[in-house]
Amino acid sequence: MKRYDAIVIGAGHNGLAAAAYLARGGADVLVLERREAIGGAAISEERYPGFTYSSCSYVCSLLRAEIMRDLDLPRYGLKIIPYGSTACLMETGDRLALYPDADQTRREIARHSLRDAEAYEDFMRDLTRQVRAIRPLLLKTPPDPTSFKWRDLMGMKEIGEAFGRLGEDALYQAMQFWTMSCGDFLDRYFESDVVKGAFAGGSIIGTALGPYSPGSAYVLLHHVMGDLDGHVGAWGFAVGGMGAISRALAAAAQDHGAEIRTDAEVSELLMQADQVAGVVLADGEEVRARTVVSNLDVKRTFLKIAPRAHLPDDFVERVAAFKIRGSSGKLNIALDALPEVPAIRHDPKLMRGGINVGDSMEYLERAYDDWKNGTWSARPYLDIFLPSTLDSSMAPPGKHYMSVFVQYAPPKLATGPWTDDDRDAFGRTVIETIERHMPGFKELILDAWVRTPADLEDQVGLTEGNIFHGELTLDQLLFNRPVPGYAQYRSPIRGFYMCGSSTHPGGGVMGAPGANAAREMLGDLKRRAA
Amino acid sequence: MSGAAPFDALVVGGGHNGLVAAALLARAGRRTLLLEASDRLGGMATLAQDCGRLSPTVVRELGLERCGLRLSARAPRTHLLLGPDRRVTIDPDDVAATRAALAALSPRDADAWPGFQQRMARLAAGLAPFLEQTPPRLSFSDWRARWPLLKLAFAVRRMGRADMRDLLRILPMNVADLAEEVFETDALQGLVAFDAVLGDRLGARSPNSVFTLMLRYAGGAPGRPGTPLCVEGGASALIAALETAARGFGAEIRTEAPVARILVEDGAAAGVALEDGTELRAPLVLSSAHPGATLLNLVGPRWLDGDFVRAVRLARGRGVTARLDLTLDGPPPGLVDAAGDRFVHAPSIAMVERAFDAMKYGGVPQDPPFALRLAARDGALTASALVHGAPHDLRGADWAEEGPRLAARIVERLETHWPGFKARVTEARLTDPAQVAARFGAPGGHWHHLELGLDQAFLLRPVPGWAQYATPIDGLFLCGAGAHPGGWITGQPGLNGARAALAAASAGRARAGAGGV
Repeated sequence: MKRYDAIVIGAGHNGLAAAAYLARGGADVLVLERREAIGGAAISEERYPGFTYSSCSYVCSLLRAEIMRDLDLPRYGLKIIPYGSTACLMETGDRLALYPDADQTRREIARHSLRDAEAYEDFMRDLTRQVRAIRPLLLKTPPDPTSFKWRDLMGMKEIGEAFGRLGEDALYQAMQFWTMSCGDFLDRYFESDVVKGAFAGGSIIGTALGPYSPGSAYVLLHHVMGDLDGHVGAWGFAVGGMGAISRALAAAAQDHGAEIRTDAEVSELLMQADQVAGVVLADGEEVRARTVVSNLDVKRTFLKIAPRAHLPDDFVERVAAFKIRGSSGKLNIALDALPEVPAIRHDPKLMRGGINVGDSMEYLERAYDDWKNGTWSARPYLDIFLPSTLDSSMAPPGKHYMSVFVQYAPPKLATGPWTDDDRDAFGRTVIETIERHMPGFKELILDAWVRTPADLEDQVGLTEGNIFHGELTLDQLLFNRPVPGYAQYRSPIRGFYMCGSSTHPGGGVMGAPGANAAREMLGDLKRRAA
Repeated sequence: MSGAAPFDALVVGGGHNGLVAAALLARAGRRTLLLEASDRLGGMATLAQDCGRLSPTVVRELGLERCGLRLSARAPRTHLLLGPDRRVTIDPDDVAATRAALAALSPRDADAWPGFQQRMARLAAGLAPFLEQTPPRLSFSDWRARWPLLKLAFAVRRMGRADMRDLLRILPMNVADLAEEVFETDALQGLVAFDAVLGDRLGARSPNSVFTLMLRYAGGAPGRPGTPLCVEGGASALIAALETAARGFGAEIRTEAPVARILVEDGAAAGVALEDGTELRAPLVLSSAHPGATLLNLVGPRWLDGDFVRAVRLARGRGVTARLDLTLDGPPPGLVDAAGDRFVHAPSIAMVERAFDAMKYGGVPQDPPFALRLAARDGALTASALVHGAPHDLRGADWAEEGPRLAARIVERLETHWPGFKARVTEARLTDPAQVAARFGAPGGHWHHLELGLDQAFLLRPVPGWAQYATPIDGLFLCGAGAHPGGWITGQPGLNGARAALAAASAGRARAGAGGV
């Protein structure tokens, strides 16, 4: 019977990245995917004839340039079109647009506040400085600060040096940055509501924090990380939708010899004494392997698939307490024509970038209050894109695909689980919100696919519908992610690893957890062979 | 400095931290004068209900027990107010009774309670080196700069692996998540959440609130980790003992002597000018006042560089805590020997969070959580409540109107918990953050001068880069709650501030001596 070097559970982008790296490193790899299609939450689907939806994740924000290069993804058809601008639509009918060109952005900010236009440069300088310190850590395995192993000590030293290079002042700023709220951080630079609101959007996406919750400044950083990469295409649309990323990763993996099977749900791990020996599929088939790595979130991995008897109690307790909180919904909308957006009519280019609704800190904070009270935001924050304005393959000629990311929506409502009526009402709230800013929009709708956090859990397999496989708060970052003592992609079970976004450095279609886990596994496989 | 200066050191502000600093300076042989603006000593400490977090080091260093300070062995009981005549009593000195009382709510929580107390106390003890010492500078330039940082790293490692992991994980967490991990009953979750947020602008679901909870377990009674240290007679007894100590060491104390300006000459402190025009000169000036008031009002921005001024302005300190004083004409019905006890109205995490949600938009919560204490004084019974529900930045209203309304709502709430309470109340007086700001010269009226979040703690308090009590003005030092480790009547900022000033003065003298040779 065939015995693989590694089985990857789940063909999400991280699972595929892990598979590609493993295969490239000479390992014999099999990827098992429960659904009929690969991609997980990085997927393109045709649900309405002629339209391609990036039905879950919608922009290619943080995919690491190193991974693009290592796996030669452009060769496998991945093409990323950068988009430049973000326009924040205001309740007054005005807008604040942020452009790739700093001068243009400064002029735009000056329309709202001269002081803020001046502060913009300082803000970007400080932000960039922090990102520069963090970025090298993304593709590193987090060291364990409680360990005296040489490797962990050197890892801590490396982190110390990365931050040490910042200099004393920037270091204090880093400490504040990691602990303070996005609101407090923005208050240090800006006075205008809309300027703060426009920047704060990035601090709440995918998280169950409000912009005034301490710790949300880091989430902002997490979102601008790709933006400031300096590599063309760090932020952009994948041609053909987000599924193109998964397809390219899969092609790279297969080219290196990996096998991928869909419609193959893993139901449990196959154990041999205290060591993993493979997996058992839902239909009872057993597949053997030296190592197994799970791309599922940490709760699914250890509360559903891994055998409880082989896990220490305190580990299971920590996994159960790991915070995976759904806070986002998604609408995929097929439109008969491009909608009118009066606030940005003067500059059609803005239609090709992000269009946000949520123009002040209070707007965002109140949206968060609704989530805390167990309901979706009555006035939600929206991150809207029209990918078909850049990529004609996404919709039939003249027609358009609109992706609407919605913050906040709870995984469970105060009234109980989501019902079909709730989903309809949620969808109506979002559509009415868009209609307010795009009069006539409703008339153009051909299809609107509304997905609540509960749908994302049921259909995509994201626990509670959390897009990051777990909150990006300080207690769940770096060596705390997903569980203190298990941040190095290994689990308490020998030969069983994790490579999903529950691990460092978290979600955002980076591919970094997959690449990092594969590196650890290859090292272990080599050691075991020797 | 000219020989004309009759004092070596001036201390601005006669709160507990100012008194600690003055006492320590005088003990070191410095001719010290303390200046208090109002007619009585104590400052904001007079608003506190207890001094449970008083640093044992301060008690020892100043010999406060010889100055009349009496520490009680008994820890205060906490009664959870859960409805009409429904109370659950937590008595740290009676483990069995506490267990029985909590078991009535939930046997699981009764089991979890003592373990949680020990865990918090243990982790707080691990934080102790950070809270007691003067924060080092974050500089890796040479081994002398690196050494204090390494020592702190080793202190954390000494906690043991499991505790260190626990600390690193829960420190930045929000208290609601922690309370929900440990307890299942709303009442205990509410109590823990309230204890974490009281005094700060935080909700139960605000990250970092576990840090503020942990501060409550730091300091306190020696040999009984996590148990508050009880000063008999409360804050006023502490202030009296500190005054005795300071005067005993030879410090001079003047009340009704408001300082108008700190005199700066050649970038160094030269003394102070009082509001009546008197100039007092000394080479060392220590201020226990709010950092912003000290640096921006008493010194003035023209002596400071722009970035520093900006950092001081940005330090967060908008208070949300009020104190309600009630005069009672007799004990409320059903009350037996409860003087000194704490009665807490915080029945759930949700209500603590709701109060915060109202405050963050400048509103006054309908039903704020509070802690009430009863005290017998000169035969009369008084009650005071600390209320988490009074934002300094009230929107579209003012405290003159909202204060009495809030007071009335709290009395009504007490009546529902305690039928017959209201009839006993003869007078209710609320001290809101605006009054705190005006009376104690602390802009924002914050309980701890500046908010105690992780982003304003340790190396970052009062502003990043200036956590060593010194200021950009030579000879001027901070020694109040705005400096590390912050509020809660620890006396530690006063102690550390005075130590920093003494060290700088003797280093200066040594330098001057060496230069003369």
